[in-house]
Amino acid sequence: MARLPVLSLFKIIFESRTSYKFLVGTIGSFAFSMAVILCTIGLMDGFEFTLKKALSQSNGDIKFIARDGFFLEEDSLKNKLNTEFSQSIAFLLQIEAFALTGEEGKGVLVKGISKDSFAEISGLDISSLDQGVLIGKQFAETYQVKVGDNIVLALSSSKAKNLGSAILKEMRVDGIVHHGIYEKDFRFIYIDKKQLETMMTYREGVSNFGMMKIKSFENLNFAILHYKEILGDDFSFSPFWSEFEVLIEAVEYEKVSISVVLQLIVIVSILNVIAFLIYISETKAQAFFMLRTLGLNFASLQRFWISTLVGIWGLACLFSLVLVFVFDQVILKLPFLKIPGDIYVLSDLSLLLGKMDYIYVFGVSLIWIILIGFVSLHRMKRKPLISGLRQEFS
Amino acid sequence: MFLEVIDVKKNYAKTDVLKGISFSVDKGQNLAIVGTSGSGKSTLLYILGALEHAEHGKVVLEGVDISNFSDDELALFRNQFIGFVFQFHFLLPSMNCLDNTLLPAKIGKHNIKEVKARIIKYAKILDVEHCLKKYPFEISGGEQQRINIIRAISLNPKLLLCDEPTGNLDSVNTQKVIKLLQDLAREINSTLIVVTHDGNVSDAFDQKITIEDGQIIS
Repeated sequence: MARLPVLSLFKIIFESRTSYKFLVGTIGSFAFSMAVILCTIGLMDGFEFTLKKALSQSNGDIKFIARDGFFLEEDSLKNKLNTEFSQSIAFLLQIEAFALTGEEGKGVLVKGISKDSFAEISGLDISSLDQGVLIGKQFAETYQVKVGDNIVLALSSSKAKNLGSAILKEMRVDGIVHHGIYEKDFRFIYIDKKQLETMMTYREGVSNFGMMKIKSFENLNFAILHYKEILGDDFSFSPFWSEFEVLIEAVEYEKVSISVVLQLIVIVSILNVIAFLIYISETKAQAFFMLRTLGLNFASLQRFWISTLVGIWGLACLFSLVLVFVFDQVILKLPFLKIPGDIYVLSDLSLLLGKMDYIYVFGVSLIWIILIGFVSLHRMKRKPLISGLRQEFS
Repeated sequence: MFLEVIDVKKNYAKTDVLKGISFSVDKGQNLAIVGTSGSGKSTLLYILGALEHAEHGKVVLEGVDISNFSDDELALFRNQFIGFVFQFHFLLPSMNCLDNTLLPAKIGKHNIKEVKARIIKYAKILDVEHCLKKYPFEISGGEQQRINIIRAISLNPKLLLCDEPTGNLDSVNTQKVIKLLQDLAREINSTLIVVTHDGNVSDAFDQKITIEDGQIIS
């Protein structure tokens, strides 16, 4: 069968600089369109994932509070919580306070924690906590506080004798914690629970917040229902993301609506590819008809055409991956492009793209490309050879 | 019989262009198809050259009926058996003349070295060796036509088809080109069929048929 290798055909068709420039432009715009879609999906997925991960680090899988505020770490309560669902439980004492650094102050939430149980549930690195406090990354950066510096905690006292005055405690910064959520990195300060109880002159074992890690995350909803059943009168149980539930739900809806809007970008990039095909069809029609007259079979032309389009698609995919990587680095590294944490809740936001995202974006664009390829081939095949020759060379 | 055309009919947009053409040509003979513009002579040539399908009738070459060939089979047939010389040179402007003449060999995966040697030989005969490295737009119309002829005969086709090869030439050059085509066809043992509107050109051929309104009249 008469056939010309695809590469030879490629040299004939793309011999001019204009064709190459147009080809590069088409690949670039196609890649850019796909990168925009990937970055948007990645940002939204990244937001949801990072937020949930960060919340899990500060709340465990299930968080619980007593309806009356404070409660005691009693064996009876622990026994009720230790079921087939629970893996570990941590009791916390949380107090609102002011943290003073030099002449500046910030409203903070001081969290009294038991080091081992809290570390197991949150996964946060709190190993440096000793007799001082751990502060959040954002707090440290904003007030330029380093490990080893001292800050003053102004704690409100509920004792009648101290009413109207604050308990001031100068504490050494033992370490810096990174939750990944802007507000938590700014406002959470960790201290040993027993130390906080002593400072506040509370009874030993007093808590007002509980965190639980469960054995199987898939059973989260069952576990919450179970605990509501046995402790529902005294305690309120909720999943770790509940405080941002509305936001996460909004992101889900946004993702769907933006995906629809992004189809416009796909169409624009497809129009670019169509423009490229029209340009090649028009400027290289002489070559196509001449080659066929000299014995090039249509299957070879078809192979070349589809290979070229799939090549464009492949190069555009690779280039879009580079663009996505660059964008990911830019939003993480360049200060002026960094996503503002106070708006987006998270301290750092990076792209999160799964296999399905790539399959969706690259797959849909490949389908478009193949479709356009076959339509243009069909049009080419319909035109009789001789009329093509006469038209192109006359 | 080398080529037999049996009752070939063709129509475009409900207009009968060929109304049952039949003739035959022996191997190595040369034939002129004469007719006025719109008579259907070029359409007949393209059907013989497997560029067009006939709606009716047969084209039999060396005992093989090509009328029912698929598009791919016709493409192969064109490459292996046919050489085309068009009125307009149809050289690709993006390639130099040597690459233009090598195209049929590359498409058919022939031995490029052998074909190239043959092309250089023909270029010397036709006095266009100096044009091989040049692009079509860098050489004269006459030189382009000779390069066009070299491309047509580069694979030593069994059938050399020429569509108004002297359409743009004066009478002196017309005679030269016709003689050249006949000599080359003889050299490569090819059957030559030339379509022309010029009655004087046809006098130089072994065989001549005249077409008018899609029918052979003489």
